[in-house]
Amino acid sequence: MALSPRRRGHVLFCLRGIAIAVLLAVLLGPIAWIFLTSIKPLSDVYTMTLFFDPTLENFRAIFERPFYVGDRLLNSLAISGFTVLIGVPVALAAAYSFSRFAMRFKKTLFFGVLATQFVPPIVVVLPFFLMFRQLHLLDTWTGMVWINLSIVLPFAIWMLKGFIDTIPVEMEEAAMTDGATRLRVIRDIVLPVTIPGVFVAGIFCFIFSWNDFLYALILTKKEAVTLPVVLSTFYTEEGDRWELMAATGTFILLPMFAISYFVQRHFVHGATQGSDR
Amino acid sequence: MRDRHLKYLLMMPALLLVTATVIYPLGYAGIISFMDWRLSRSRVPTDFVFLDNFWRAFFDDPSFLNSLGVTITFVAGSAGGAVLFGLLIALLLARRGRGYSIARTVLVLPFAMSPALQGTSFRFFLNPEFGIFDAVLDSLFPFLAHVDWLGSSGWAMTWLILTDMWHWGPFLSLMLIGGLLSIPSDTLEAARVDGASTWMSFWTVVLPQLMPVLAIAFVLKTIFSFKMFDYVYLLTGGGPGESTSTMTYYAFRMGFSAYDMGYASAIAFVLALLLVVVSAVYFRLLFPRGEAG
Amino acid sequence: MRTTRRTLMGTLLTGAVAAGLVCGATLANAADALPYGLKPGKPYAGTKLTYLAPVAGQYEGHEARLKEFTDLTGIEVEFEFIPFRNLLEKILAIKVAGDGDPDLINYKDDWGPGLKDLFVPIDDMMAADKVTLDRYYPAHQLGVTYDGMIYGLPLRGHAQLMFYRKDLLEKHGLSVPKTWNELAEVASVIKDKEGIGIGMYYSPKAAQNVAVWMNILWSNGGELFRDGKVTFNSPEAVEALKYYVALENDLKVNSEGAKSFEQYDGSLSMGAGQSAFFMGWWWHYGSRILGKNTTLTPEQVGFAPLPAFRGDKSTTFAMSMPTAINVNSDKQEASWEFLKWVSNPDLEKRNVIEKEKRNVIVALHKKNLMDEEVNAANQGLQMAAAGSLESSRIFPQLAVWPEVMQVLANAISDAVSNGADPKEALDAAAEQAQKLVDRG
Repeated sequence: MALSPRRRGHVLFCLRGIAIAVLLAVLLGPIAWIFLTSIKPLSDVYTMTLFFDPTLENFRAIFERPFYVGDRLLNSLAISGFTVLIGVPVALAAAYSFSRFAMRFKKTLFFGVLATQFVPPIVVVLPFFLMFRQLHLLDTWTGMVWINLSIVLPFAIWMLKGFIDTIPVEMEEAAMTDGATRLRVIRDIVLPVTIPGVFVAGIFCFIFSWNDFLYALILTKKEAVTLPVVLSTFYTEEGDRWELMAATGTFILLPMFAISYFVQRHFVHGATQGSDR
Repeated sequence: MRDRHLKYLLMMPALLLVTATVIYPLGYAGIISFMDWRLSRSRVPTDFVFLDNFWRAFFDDPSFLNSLGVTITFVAGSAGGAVLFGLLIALLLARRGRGYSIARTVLVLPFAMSPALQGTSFRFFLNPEFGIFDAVLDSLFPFLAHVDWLGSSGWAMTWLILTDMWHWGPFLSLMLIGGLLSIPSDTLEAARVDGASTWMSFWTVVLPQLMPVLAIAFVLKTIFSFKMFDYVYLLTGGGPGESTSTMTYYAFRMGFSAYDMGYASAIAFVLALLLVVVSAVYFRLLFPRGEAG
Repeated sequence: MRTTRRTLMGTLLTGAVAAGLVCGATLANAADALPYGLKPGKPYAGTKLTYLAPVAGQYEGHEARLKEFTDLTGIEVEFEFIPFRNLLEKILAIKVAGDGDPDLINYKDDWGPGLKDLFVPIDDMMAADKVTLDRYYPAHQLGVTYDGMIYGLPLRGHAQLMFYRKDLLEKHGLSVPKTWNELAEVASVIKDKEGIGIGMYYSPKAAQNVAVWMNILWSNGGELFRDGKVTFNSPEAVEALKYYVALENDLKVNSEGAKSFEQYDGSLSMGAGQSAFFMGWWWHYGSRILGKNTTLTPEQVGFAPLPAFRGDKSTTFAMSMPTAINVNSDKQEASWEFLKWVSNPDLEKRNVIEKEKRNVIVALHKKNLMDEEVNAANQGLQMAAAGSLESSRIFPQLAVWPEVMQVLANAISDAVSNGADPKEALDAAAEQAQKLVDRG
């Protein structure tokens, strides 16, 4: 059966619509269910019922003794925030250098940076602990930002280099012929075009440090404890307190909606700029 | 400032930060992989045993060899799966328009969900009595109604991979959408004017343009797949039997449950070595003209 | 109605206990001696201690009453709550660091042999203050004793019990099973009539399947170790595993999902009315089977010792969570004061009967388990558990036991899920375990 191009267009449009709907269901379904779990009374948590009396009891519980989610929120925000603020510019600079310049041992260096992340944290966490103890960085924001930076930077550099590689080098050359300095080129030409990449790398840095568990568990104790550690205290000896985890998880996820909306706007904005040039 | 100096200056902060941080822990862990360090006996490493830990892994420990195979299966499934899933999402959503933009807002969320919560929740979702995944799948595919999802080896591995894909796919798609949206629209127009079909232009225009980002997404995901720990720990505990016991999980067991840090380090370094080999191969394949540097 | 009565009773009891304490304290003051063997005259006033503990009702109860301790001794204590699953990692980091902080550490008894050089032997302190382990059951005494020395005092501990649906057994005229074979028969009748079976669990996650299999093994005359040699591939052990596997694969008396269940899932299943039997630690009764997450009533749920496999007597096993003093702490004496206070039976009793504050059922002192008020507040659970505790045993005291247990758990899971031959699975596990044990 042959379809006219127009009919074919319609069919494709519908198929795309269905595919997107399925995709959204797959991505949002579990999140929605976790949210529902967080507002269920305990008697309905381990059932599939959709008819229950919504309660904020779980949200109340997580802010109280001994969990104190509210207190930990500031730590998490600060540690992840600083990691992004320091990490992204530093990574961008390095990525640009790796992408644009020729130098000796570049391949080795570039590979080496990534290779620092090849060893699973499980065996380096104790050495880290000993090192931080010597440096008096245990249980501090500085220590946590530092260790998170060392983890996210290699990946961020790689991501950003990938984005910079896709930008035709001719634009920069043209500008430089016109007399612009290299730093200016980076700021005025490269940065606007790589904005989507910068945001992806930023999201990565933020979320990765936000979710880091093992280092936070071993390297903090009171002052710099982050949310993932609190989340794990719901694994009590008397089983997993799923409803409390769900409440904390929902609470943690809320700012992400805001962030991702904000990111989206810049995403398209930056990308449009890139392609219009 | 001259490029000659600038190129090093730009790199310096990142390189210094990374090396200054990891050199001690990595060196320490590297050294103890050649040492006897049983936490139950001593709080510090004791004797040099040279290659004993590595010898034990390859010639005297079936569980380790098993974990090697499990890891490779998982990496192949989850790295390939997550990148494909990400590409699919990207192709669906990399369009201009308000609707698409809103749909893309969702993509951060699975990645933002803490692995601890996701792992715990997905395990409950698969519960035959009140699990939402189980219920949905049973009604879609009645012949699967009696499958105990985490109770058989094949399904447990499948769910491990799917769980990991759910977490990473959308994030990778963000990387790819970034790449796709920066393909100049006139390039696509030109292809269309030349009469290329959507499919053709995907292969001849889109994919080559996307290659640098795609390649990097693949390398990064491979690294994370090799190191994945949380979902094994939370979903299956390595079971049934040892069918989902990956190398990181096994290293964890050896370090923190058998108190054998020297051996755990050796396993971790075998994993790292494997990653070096795999990434070197990727380099050759994905960046054939040495564009990666 | 039920709740009101319980609350009322709780309030009355609390009042009575509080009044008793006040009287006690006044009397004690008059005699210038403090309760629980605490040193008079506040010699450690102003000392600040840190205490690493997992999250559980007990510890929250202790923390809530810290003021009483500080009033008596002038010592302040700060609780550092750690996720239970990560407690061992945290303790190992403390051990590696050799730090004196925290001063006190709560741990699981079977980790003791691997951690003991981090802890202070407390025999002398106990002798000086006339604190003895006699107040605990043998299993809990053994749980804190390694190589003849005592390293901690148990604050939390569990006995294994079998929980069953009293109403369903009555409805079908069945009696409470005393042996595994009876259990299989009864469960099969109930599964036929009601569609729900035993909330059994086989997942190697958390290795709890080992605990069930060990009961069958012991009752079958088997041992895990004999003279330092691994013997859990003996004919008795293989027979035990075959039976355990058969419950799932041949007799099919378990509820759906047993292959992937861990202990928590089993009790959730029972609490949701999806299983008629459950075997596991007694705390499940309070927070999973009858907790706020279920609609079951105490009238519907009975408890009994675990069934026997051979003969009619079962040997269950018990675990405990002792608190020990950090060997690197420079405040060991003040820590001992706290340990004396926190382990005292009155505190434990108050924790267990104050239901309106937190649902704690765990008691360890013999006199508390037999106590009328305690049993009245908990449907007689403690009295029943006391029977089990008298004849219970503990995990083997080996440094590498946590890993040996994991090896066993994997073998069991392999036999039930992947069709591995029980004999071969146990042989392989025994070989692996022997290597671990020899390495220590």
